[in-house]
Amino acid sequence: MEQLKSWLKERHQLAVAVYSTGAADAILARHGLSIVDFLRPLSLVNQLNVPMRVGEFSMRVQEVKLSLFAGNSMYQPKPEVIDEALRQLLTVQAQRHATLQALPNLIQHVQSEPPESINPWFASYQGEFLRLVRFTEHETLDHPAGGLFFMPAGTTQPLAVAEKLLSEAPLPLHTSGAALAPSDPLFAKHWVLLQDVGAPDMDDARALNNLAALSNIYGAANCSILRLHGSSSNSAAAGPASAVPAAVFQACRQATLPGGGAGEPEQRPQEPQGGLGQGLHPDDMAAAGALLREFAERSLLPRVEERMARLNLAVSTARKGLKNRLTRLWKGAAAEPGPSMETSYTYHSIEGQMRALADLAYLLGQYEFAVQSYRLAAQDYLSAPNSKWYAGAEEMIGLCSTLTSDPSADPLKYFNRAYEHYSKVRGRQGRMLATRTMLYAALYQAATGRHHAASMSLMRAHFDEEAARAALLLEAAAYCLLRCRPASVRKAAFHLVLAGLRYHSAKQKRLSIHCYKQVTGIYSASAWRHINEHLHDILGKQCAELGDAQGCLQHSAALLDCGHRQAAAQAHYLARFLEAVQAAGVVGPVQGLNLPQVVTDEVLVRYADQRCYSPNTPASLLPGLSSSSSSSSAAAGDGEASLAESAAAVWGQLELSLAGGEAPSTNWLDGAKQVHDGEEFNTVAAGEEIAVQVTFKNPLAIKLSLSHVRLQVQFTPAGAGSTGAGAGAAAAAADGPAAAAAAPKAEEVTVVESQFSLHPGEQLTESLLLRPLAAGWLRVTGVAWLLGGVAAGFAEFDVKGRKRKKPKGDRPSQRKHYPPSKRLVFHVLRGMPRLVLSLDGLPAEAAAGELLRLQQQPGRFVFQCAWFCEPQEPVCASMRHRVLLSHHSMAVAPLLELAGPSVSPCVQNLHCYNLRLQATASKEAPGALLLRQISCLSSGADAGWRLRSFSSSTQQLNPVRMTLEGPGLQAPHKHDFRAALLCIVPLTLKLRNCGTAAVSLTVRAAGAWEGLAADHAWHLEPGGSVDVVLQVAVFKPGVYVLDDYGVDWRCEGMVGAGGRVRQGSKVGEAVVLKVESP
Amino acid sequence: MSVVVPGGVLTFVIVGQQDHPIYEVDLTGPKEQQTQYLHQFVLHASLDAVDEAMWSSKELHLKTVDRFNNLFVTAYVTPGNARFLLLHDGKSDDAIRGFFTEVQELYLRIMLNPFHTASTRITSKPFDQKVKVLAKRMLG
Repeated sequence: MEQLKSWLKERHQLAVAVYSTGAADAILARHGLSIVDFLRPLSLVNQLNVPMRVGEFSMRVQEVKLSLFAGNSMYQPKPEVIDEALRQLLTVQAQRHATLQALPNLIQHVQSEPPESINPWFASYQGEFLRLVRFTEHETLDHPAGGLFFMPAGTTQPLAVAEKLLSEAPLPLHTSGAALAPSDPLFAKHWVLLQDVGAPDMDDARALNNLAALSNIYGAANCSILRLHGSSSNSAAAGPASAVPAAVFQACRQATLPGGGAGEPEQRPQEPQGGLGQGLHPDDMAAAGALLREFAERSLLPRVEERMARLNLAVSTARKGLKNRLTRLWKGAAAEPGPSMETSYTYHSIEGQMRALADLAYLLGQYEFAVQSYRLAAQDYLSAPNSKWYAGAEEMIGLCSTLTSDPSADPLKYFNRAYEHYSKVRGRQGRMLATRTMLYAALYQAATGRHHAASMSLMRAHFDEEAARAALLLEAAAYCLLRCRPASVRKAAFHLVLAGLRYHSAKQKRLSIHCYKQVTGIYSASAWRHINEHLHDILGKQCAELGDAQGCLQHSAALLDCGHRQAAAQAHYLARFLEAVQAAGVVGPVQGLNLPQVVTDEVLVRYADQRCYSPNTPASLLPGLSSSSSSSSAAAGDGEASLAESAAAVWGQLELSLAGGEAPSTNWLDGAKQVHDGEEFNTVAAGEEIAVQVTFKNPLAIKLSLSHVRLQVQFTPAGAGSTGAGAGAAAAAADGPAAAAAAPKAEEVTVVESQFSLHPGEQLTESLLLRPLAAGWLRVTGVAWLLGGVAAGFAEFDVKGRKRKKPKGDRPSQRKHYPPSKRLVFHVLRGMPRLVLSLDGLPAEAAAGELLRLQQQPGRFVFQCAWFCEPQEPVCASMRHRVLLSHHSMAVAPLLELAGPSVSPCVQNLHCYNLRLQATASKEAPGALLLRQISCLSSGADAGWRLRSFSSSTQQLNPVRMTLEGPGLQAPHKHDFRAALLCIVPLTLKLRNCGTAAVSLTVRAAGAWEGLAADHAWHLEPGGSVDVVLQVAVFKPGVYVLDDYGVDWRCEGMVGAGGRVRQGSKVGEAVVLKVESP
Repeated sequence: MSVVVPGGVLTFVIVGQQDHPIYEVDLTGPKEQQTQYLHQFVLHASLDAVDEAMWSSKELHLKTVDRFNNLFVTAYVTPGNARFLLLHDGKSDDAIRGFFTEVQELYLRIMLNPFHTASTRITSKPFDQKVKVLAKRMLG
């Protein structure tokens, strides 16, 4: 609070105008200074003891500070000039102080640090703003109470020069008549003859004569000579001790404005090479200090006291006392409050005198007396009404209340009143003054610790302000809110965002980003999507403008989470993102790109070596293996008997070789764990495809085009270490994770890229392929893609296994179980031959219950031995099938059994074999049926056969095929109903046994059907057919739908699984019969 | 079918734990993007005022806690500390109180769902529909 008080006192001091002739200016211009610049460092005159009487109070003035201004600069610049100067100041300050990063721990920082360190530009701006809005007509605080008139000592006509100076002295501020004219005897005047002792034409006698001449006219106390010794050439030799530092003058200088005003000249003298004040001697400063002391003591203060006495007398006569009060009451009641007058009161009007009296009392520190006078004046201004003068008086009452230590005074009330009335003043000046009032209010409240109220005052001021100032006020208000305890973080964040927006519109980009960056920390964890969208939108744009491509990319990537927006907006954001990617020129995946969304925790792995979906099923089938093989192997070879005896042993060997001899199990049928380094893996052969089904989701309402969609893999060649990935793990321990597994080379793994589009809202499961070409360990890590041909994305798989209910240990393999379809680690074995099954003539679709006859008989499956990569060793040519074992796997597929697989060598190709499979489904089910696995064995020591899956359509095989033929089905049947009421249409039902066994058939017909054939049974051999004559009886012409006929069939001599007789029925298709009368 | 109150400003938000909005509805139909931004900012900023008002009142209904220009925020805090915020342009307080009380009934039914936690987003269509009908009846 004391700090605020001293700051306020510092701001308003007795103003003194300095008038000078050009020749006098020229003497100091050699030192780079104007006369005001020279005098300002000495403006504090202390150790005085001047008794003064202010109204009924007596006081002793012990020190006085003078505000020195060049007389021709004491006016307020135009509002446009002020705003432009402030804008430049703000730009410079922003460049110097504003960071583009968020402050860590913003709230603690704001609460612990002084305000100047948080937003230093605000303090600079505020100081400059308050300085520039001085010199208004209604504030006599800034009107000069006295003047110093400088002229060169060597002038020939001192009196004429003095007269000219005085007559030209009234300058812009005085034209309105609100200020005391310099010619008034109450205006303290002091005449100074400036003498440059070092000048060649120095004439001391003339100077003394001139002084005598002036003293005669203006009095000896008001005239003096100021001699400057220092400019002689020996000053440089005297050393730095005798020089005046340039910083002394620099500190008192303020920025100049184009057109001048606000107490500063438009242009300053050129700065000499040695800095400001070069060549001046400390004795010169002492002389100037003595001059000011003499002026203050002998001229200024006595004049001020006399002036106040006169003003007080005038005011007392006109406004104080019972008579005046009654007069005012009577007049005030009669007067109608009209619209606010815009004119100013002149100095000699009673209203102007009241204000002048109050201001002088204020400047002399007599706040109590000042408040009385301001109150008296305010009544007049209010009843006039004159908003500007009234607001000025209220503002000063507020300042007086702040400066007095009276706790009952509430300055806020007066500041608010002043704000309201300044707001009524038209023009930009009124707005600026209103803002100034609220700045005072906020300063007062911040000093008393009422930060919330301070922020309210600043908010109030910002509403009608121009953008830059409004932004500054909003920002300051936000920091005030953060200083509250507890901090109003969310409100402060909103104010900072508003400030950022205003800065943006004021083209203060740097400050705008600064504000937005501060709030990202506050909003980062919030789920308010519009807020986040706005922040990323603005920050992205601003980063782009500032050339921060990475920042722009980051924000535009965050904008892609815009599923709640309309399609056009989404397309716009996507386009912006792609642009940002191009601008940033990123190599590799874009961080944070989540478009399209990839289901990373659920993938389905498909590969050729799907040996064991459910370990128990093949184990149960194993005992039947030898019997079925002996009966079905029509072309049994040499190794048949031995195989039948040791089928299980061979299976074990096969399994061992397939698993690369590294599976730690002796019997895979018991569900051997394929665990490697604590992770379950799959085994594949080199050259064979691995497919991983990955699900992509498009959360947006626009189409996304994806290209280069591919799996990301890591590959460790088999020779790289003793145990492949184990070596990788060891390397990881030594060299860090980057060395664990390298990206594969082109000859090791082929990754197939795919390309597709995702329609709005579509969820697509895509099978992505890769083909390992060399033996080793392969790990599928994730999926990568290219969005819109520009932005690369990457998603790492995070597949979760099934959690065991009772984990045995802490190792990953013990804790979780990954089914083979979810394992992403593959042990790639060297290439080996594989059985390829080709199916010819299967229709793409078949109706349930329909028997299809395919052309190839007896088998339609062709097995072929094929290599899928370069063969590494010769294959024994005498490989032969021994056993075919099949079982199903798929939950939705009907239970299927394959009866009597028969294998015969292909006639054309010795390496091909024909297989005949007969599949029966236990129930009808639509959809595809997947025959998952056919396992084959061969004799000898050759490598094992590979296992292969294929799919086919599901169908319940119905041996009977039926068609209905006859007249009336294609063309209308004609019958003359007048001749015979009953019309009998003969139809033929053709039945054929397409099955392999004899069937007995019973034809059923009901409803309109009439005929001998009904309920008659036929017997059909395989391939046989029969025509059954049916008759339809109708009584009227019309269109008849014939249904409700069918055939029950029963296979003779064929017994299915579980001793079930194979039988079924087939309902005939509905046919349309048209009967017409001729 | 969508029930909206035509014209004016009327946005209802339920704010759950950690200041996350668990339900949002604009009861006066679609708005411009900038307006949507502003409304969310005003609602989010008002949470400070709600926190303050909550401790100075014994009532669940906190009345108008905050304003920004001509946008008012009226708040209601359930005993479970879910905050109902209504952004409006000067509706009668009694009507809003009634609306909030009714919505709390609906909210309680949602909370009875054992799978719903205090921070789960409310996506129930019937709830949405009922809130809209309530708004039309009581605030429209």
